[in-house]
Amino acid sequence: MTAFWESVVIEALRGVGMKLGQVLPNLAMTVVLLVLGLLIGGVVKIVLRRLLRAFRFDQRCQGWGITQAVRRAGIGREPADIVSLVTFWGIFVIFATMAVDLLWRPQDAGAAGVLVMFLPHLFAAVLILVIGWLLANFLAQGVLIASVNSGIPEARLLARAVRWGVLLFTFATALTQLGIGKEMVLIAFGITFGGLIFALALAFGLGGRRLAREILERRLRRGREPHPSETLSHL
Amino acid sequence: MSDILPLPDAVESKLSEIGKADLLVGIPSYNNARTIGHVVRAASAGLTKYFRDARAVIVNSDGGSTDQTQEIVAQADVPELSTILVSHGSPLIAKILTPYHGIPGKGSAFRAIFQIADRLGVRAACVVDADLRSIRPDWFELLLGPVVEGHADYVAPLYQRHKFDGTITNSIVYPLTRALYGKRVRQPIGGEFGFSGDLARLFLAKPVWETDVARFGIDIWMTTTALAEGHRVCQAYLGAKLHDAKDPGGDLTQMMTQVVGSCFDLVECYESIWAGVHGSEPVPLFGFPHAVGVEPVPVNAERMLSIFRQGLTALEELWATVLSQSLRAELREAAGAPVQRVRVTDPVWTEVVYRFAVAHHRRSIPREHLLGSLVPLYLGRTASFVLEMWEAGAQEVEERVERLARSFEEMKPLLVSEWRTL
Repeated sequence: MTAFWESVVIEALRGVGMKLGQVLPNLAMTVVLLVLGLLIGGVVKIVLRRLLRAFRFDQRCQGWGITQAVRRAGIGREPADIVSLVTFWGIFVIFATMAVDLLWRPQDAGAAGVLVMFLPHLFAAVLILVIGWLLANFLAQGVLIASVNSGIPEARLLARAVRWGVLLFTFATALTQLGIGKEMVLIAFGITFGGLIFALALAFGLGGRRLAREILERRLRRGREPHPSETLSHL
Repeated sequence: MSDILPLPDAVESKLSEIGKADLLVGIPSYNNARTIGHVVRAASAGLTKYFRDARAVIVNSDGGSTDQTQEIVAQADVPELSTILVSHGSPLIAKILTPYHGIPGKGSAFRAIFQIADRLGVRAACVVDADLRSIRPDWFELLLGPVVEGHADYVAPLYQRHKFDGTITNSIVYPLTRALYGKRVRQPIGGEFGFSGDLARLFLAKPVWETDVARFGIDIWMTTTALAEGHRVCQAYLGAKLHDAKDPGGDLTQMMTQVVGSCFDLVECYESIWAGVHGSEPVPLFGFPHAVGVEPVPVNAERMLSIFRQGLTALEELWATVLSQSLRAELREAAGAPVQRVRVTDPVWTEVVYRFAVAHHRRSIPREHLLGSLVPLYLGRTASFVLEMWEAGAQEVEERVERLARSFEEMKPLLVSEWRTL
């Protein structure tokens, strides 16, 4: 029994000790790198934010319409804050990547290498998501206003449909960019989007036959004759 | 100096042939075959009758009509006058010569007229719409006369209109222009204007021909420029204005975007001038005001109210970035009343317009969306006005519009303070 304990438990503990001996310095270095990433990122963030404010970056973004676009996407921060925050996280991710690489044993594939290879795709996917998100909000708002002004009762439904249509397309594109189930995403998107359009067409044509007729008639007659009960000249 | 678009060769040779002229009548057109012949004849008769010794030119600036508008102008009886046809919008010219040619609209047509006025060195010019059915020869005396005689640099029209006609003018453009620039020009976007040759050159030199000014925004832009830059402005009473019916509902958002957008752009442009203006004063009136019959205007107030009410729920989130909570509550209260009792009061409406002007300046949301979202509010105000004035006579309605204009003047400090807190 004693021999068994010696051979199994102590040997195992010794193995763990040896492994910890190999890993601990790297673990310590990992922590150091993470802390360094946080510190350097933090300092760069503060300096960058001050610089951007000195150059009136927020006001310039306001003029270029960037601030409004960002707000529409549900982000309440000022552009200078966003840029400095993105820089902070960028620096931190670089240090974190190095840290993760330290923890990896030499015989394993380099995590940093994999990550670096993957980064352009990730960046492109994030960019697609951000642009898609902004575009979806912009188009949905435009459709909502146009529908309300045309007196279409389903204005909000239309705006939501446009928003989710664009978002669906965006997610599908982003996933394809990441290489996640390319074919599956493509087919799923095709089925979902096609199904959605088909369902809408059916609902519009069958469920709202009269409405569809009215809208088409109004559309085709626009510019030829005034609204039957109104000849108000606004100007 | 803005870029100058080259004129077509035919026009160039005609200009060389004419050399100099004293007066010019510009007629922008697009598919106005039905009415333009009458307008040209009225112009030629007016010029012949009232300015016999002047060398006069009629310019038709056309946007590519397909209904023989140009042929009718060419064949219209214009004794002893030169008629120039400017084929504005012709693809041949547009594609080869002008980078600004892409914007079809009344403003672009005016630009060609200003260019010709400049080249001919005219003393006075006027522009009249091609769809007018009530135009008379004496309109030209009233539009050109004050400039020719040195009484004014810019002549705005004053019409007798139906009480429910010109609602953007009555509820936004007139009160806002009056409060901002301190001059009571009752119809700043009337469509017909007289101006001096110098003012035409000034208009031409402004770099605005790629903006909404090139479309519906030209009228308010001309009037505001004349007012804000200190030119002598007067009004000419022209009687009734009858013109071909257009689809009023079809282009309302576009109209709002272009006219009110141009108005708000100008608020931004002339901030240093309007911020110091208090109250308002009348401008000289030429012509003899008299009562005339006007065409009835059927109005569907319930349709307008339904869009207003829908806007209050669907656009709540968007309006929250423009209007205060208390103002939105007042609008909701107004919309919730039974149809006959819906009232968007003067202070509420004034604040709405001022807050939209500030939001337009701040670019808190895309400008097209901002101006488009004003449409339901405008329809609510218009419905409220129509219901309130249903039984009222023309005089009473005019007094009502004056009350709104005074509200804009009284609440102007709100605009000034909000503008300055940017």
